[in-house]
Amino acid sequence: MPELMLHKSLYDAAVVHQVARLYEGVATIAVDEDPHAVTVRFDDVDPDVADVLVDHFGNHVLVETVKQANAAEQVLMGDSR
Amino acid sequence: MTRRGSIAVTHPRLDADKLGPFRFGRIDDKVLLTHDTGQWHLLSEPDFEALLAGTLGPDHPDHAALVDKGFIRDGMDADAIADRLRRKKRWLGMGPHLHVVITTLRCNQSCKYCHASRTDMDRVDTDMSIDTARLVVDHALRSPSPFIAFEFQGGEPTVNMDVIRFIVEYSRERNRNEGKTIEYSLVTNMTRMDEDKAEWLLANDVFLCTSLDGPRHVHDWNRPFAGGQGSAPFDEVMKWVQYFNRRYVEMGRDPELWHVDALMTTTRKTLEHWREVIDLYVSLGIRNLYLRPLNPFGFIMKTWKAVGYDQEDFLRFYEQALDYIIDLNRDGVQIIEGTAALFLKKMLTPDDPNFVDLRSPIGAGTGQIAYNYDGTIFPSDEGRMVDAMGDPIFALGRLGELTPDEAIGHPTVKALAVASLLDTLPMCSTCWNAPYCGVRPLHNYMMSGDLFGQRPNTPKCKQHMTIARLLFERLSRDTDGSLEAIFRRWTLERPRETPPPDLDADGDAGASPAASSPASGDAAPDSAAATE
Amino acid sequence: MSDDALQDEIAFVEDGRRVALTLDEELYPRDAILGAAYLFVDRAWVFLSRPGDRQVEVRLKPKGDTDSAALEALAGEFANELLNQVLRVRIGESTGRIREYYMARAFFSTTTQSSIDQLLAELDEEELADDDLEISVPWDTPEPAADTPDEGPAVGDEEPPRA
Ligand code: SF4
Repeated sequence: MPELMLHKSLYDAAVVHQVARLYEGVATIAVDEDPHAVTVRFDDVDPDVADVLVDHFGNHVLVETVKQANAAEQVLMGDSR
Repeated sequence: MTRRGSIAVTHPRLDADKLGPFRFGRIDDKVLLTHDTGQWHLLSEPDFEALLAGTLGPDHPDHAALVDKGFIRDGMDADAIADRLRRKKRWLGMGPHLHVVITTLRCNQSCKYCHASRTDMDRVDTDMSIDTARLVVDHALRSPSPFIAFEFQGGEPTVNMDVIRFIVEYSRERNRNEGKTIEYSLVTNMTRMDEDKAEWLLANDVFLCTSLDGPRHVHDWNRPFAGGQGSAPFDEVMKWVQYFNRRYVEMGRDPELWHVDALMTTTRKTLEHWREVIDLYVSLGIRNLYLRPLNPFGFIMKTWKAVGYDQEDFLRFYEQALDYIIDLNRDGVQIIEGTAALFLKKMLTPDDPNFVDLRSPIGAGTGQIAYNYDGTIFPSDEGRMVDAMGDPIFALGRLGELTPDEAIGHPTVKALAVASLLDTLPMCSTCWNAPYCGVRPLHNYMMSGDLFGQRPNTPKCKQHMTIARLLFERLSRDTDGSLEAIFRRWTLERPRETPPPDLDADGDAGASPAASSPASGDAAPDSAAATE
Repeated sequence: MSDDALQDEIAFVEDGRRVALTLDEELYPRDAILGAAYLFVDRAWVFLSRPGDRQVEVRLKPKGDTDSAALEALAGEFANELLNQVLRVRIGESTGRIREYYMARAFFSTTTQSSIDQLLAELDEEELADDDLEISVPWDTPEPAADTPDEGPAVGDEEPPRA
């Protein structure tokens, strides 16, 4: 059962939860949070995606984190106008 | 076995407080700086380092230009930059100008890549009614835009010619009170054309755009008649392109302005015969060749194996074709590549072509509206195609029920705008190509189920980046300015009713009337790129 | 404020399948790391972790076949892109308010800054406060605003520099 530890200072914790929900169809996913990190555990993984599931998940969370960070930056710019 | 190593890096000296806001990238061995206004500048690496360090002084030959364009802070005129930016984005808040009307879904062809959701010729239930057509005109004329372009699409739109005639006549009548500038264009396969229709289209100044995929063996392979009839669609296209072009001359129209435009969809067969395709366009006197890749809509998913190709193959083909077209121009042939011309207008003129699919935010819903035959309103024809594939997510509402204000303010339209604002998108927000580019949320949705998509994984990003890079590379190597003169000609967009502007010795078109015509670029190629 | 050119060695480790670079967050802000990482998601599976305080490890696992040489080249590409991203972040931070100013003036009828002069005066003050060794550059009185938008100067109208 693969596990992924995502540091909260690097990844957006809310995004990790959202993305985890998207992957529920291909694995049983447990998300645990402590003050520093979000840990994602994948059980009952669909054998078709076993090889790439964690890799995909990692890129997906990264992309969504960057998206959030960019949008937040623009909101700040908008506020200061 | 693991191996350790290290990479030596040098952070350049930076005095950021001496700089203006800009984006940068590498073109050949130079650094390209681009500005929100679309202005750009190429610097050598050492000069770029001097710029960053704040040591590129007034004695440097590029200093004045860098200040004027806003790359150097000391002396920058931020108010003038604001004015340029406003001019570039003057379409913001203007409202939809492009109104795509699906007069019918019926079509007598069955194209290999058809994403227009066609129905067979006996399906008269997929024709637009006159009552619906009246609502289309009423809706479109309530757009705040002073320019309205009705574009007739299908199916094969001429199958329902009554609706085309009605919309042209009724909108003219209604416009007596509105005072807008209205244009009409028809995207047709020409196979249902006859003299009666042709003469009416000529008499009513309806611009014509046909599909022409190349020589007979390519065109007829891509676009067979439904049911496999023996006759050749290619012959019909040839006959009518020549007919219309001859009639324009007989009517005393300037053939440079009045001619049939054509659109080409690139299939695997086109890649093999690209030079023949271009030669055919040239021989027919077609001035604007639009090299369009297949898009992910409709039936194409099923037939990709037969007609599709890798993105890399398309981009290689594009580069070869672009260089061939440039060579033809050097020999005096007047032909332009449509997508390149759009980018060049953004790069070389103070204006923007307001091409609905190449702007930030995208024009879906705010620059374009599509009306299905049954009166359903979509933010773009692509939204209508997604609907035809069984996913109604982009339907905004129905004519007669949804007001124009409600359509523009619809949450779906807002979502499309947010998903296409380059300033907020990862990678785009810092990309040197952002002033010239645009993203396609509906493509992203089709490919990944997400309006935003992942930029490095979206084919449109790679296409746009490659096209802009090819153009900048060629400009950067243009030691005698001859290519720039050709490219500037490509940016000319003259209103069809006015005489040609005088070009100065450099072929500089910057001050031409067309360069400031807000309606420029709104004719057929704009929409067809979005919809076919 | 001017930062002098700075040499750095970015350590990497590769195992034939993936390569990991260790970065000092003092030199490489998080936004720059994220920005660079994003650019590689088409080619690699990217994972970020924190091996130590103020340190970020970027692990890149190519999506296709790879070998040691390709991994080292990939690490080099990442380092180059990271340098670009650091510049973008720093220039963005320093020029953000000027950009806001002209965006606001272009698209909103009222701006929060009453004039560019005021904004520039504020920036100058910040600059002086930032770095007392820096000789402040006085902001020239702006040229009168350009003509109406429709008659403004051509864009990109200079001759492109000749090779
Ligand atoms: S879509 Fe790609 S090329 Fe266009 S601005 Fe965004 S990152 Fe740049």
